[in-house]
Amino acid sequence: MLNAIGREIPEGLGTPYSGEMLKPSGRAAGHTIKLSRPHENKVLPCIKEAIKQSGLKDGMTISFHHHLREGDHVVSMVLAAIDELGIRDLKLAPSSLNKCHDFIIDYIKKGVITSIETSGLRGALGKEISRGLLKNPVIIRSHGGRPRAIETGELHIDIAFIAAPCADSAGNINGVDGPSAFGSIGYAMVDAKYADTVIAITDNLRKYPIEPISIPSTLVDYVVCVDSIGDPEGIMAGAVRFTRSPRELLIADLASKVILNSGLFKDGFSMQMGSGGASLAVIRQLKDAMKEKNIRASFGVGGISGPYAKLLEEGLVEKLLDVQCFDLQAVESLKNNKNHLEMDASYYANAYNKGCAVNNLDIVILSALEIDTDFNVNVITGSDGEIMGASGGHSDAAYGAKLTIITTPLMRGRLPIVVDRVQTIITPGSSIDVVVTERGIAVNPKNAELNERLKDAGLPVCSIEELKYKAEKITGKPDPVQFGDKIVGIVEYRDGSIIDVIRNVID
Amino acid sequence: MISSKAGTEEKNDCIIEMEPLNKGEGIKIEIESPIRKQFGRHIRNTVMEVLKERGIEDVKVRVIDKKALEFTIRARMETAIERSGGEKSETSANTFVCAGK
Repeated sequence: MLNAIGREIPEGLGTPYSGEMLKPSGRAAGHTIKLSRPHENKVLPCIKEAIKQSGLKDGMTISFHHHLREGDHVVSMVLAAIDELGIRDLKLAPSSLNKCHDFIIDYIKKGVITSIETSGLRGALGKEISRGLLKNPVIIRSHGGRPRAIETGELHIDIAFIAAPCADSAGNINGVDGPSAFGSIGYAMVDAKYADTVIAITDNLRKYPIEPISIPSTLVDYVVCVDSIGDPEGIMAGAVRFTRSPRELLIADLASKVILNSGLFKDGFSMQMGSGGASLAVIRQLKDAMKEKNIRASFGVGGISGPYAKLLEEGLVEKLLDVQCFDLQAVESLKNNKNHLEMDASYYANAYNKGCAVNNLDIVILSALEIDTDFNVNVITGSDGEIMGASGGHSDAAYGAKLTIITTPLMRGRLPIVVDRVQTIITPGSSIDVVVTERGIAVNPKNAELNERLKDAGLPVCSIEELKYKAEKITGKPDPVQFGDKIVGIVEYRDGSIIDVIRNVID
Repeated sequence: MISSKAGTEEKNDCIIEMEPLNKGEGIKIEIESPIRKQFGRHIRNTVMEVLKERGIEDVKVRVIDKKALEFTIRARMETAIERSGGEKSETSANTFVCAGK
């Protein structure tokens, strides 16, 4: 049947997206309970031993978190040990996956992994899964959708493997100390609370107790010390530099003018920024306006990068709420600045708790792989239909913020970005207020007031159909991509309803 | 007419390789492009159009596309034709200058 935004959702996959947030009922899930004895030893000699002790069996669910990004060594070490133990048919439920995880293809082929639930998929793994490698469709969840699924019991984690830059013998963990420090450990905090068994894997085993403690010993079953949990260069793969691209600078200039004229740019405003070059340039422009008008932001949210940490240091933003650090400056800031707060993924973006951070946002700037004339946004599949991105916090922040701005170039190479129909919907158009491109700004007709404000400010406002026309005039109208009948991906909206499905790519 | 080549591997550019064929063999086009599914037909049409404009009938054209816009493909085609010693047209002097390498 068609869901509320016109996507064909086959029967039996779940509740189609209704256009509104579904209301939950019932009680939260929980982990098994156990007796801990005085002076018990939690430190085990190797990962294999910890897996044996955990009771991992065929058909169970294992989880990881993606704070080590392209530098992650943990998934690879754990899957190798699981394979050697002959365990098969596992569900892999990481917070996200990166290009460095292409080796998972081999474990899928061997039958070690038969299902995946994640925010993102990239590289060769994304390509292969798009072509039907995996027996079951991959489930794509947002950063808020995943903790919802865990807390409601929709996603039960049997064993959580936690990459710990710093851990003590009792299992206390933080992410800010040690050679593989990555900063906030926010995604893993949820896994630790709800998984039946929690295994900390560290390359920095310290004397009990460590400080600070992000994940407490009360949640951790075993600790394993290895040579290295991550490659620091890969950990910083999210690091961004200030863009010199004239096109990105132009987009940033227009986006900051949208903010300045939105009516929300006043003392105490709050904001989430992406890590892309354009949003960084927006920060730089806003900074000047903030100093000039004596405006301070009350808080910033999200994955935090160095330039954001700098705003905190300069007193232009009062607090940072951080689920993931994008670079070393952010890690240092989290470690040293008491106004830089670590938060878990549920606190960040879960719609099914009693108040998440994105619900308090004024402004968010987000990117798009494609946006259609209904303002629906795709950040997961390329325009050829291959899975190559991540849902991330896109739909969560877009839903929570008063003003959701999409910044994107109008074209990438020959591909028009504003299109009739995006390949895959991650965020419904109802959450998007305005799209800013280098060739014009289109306001969602639902926000007529903003449209007037931006027009009055002399900004180049036009309809989204006009943007689409401008792009196609230069690129030509692309031919539609053909797909097969196999569903390779199910995209859950933040409430767990199905907003779209991804079908297999045909070569 | 001799074999020729124009264009670069830069983003938004394309490489055109041309090879003369014997009379009567017709036009053969090979396209490599990351956006072949969406734009393969467009690229083929552009190549055919330029060949027709120049009256070239027996040739093999290989397009290695890096998401070039239509006018770029046209310009690279024109240059490749010039370099092959193929038929001249009124626009040839201009296209040679702007097509570069």
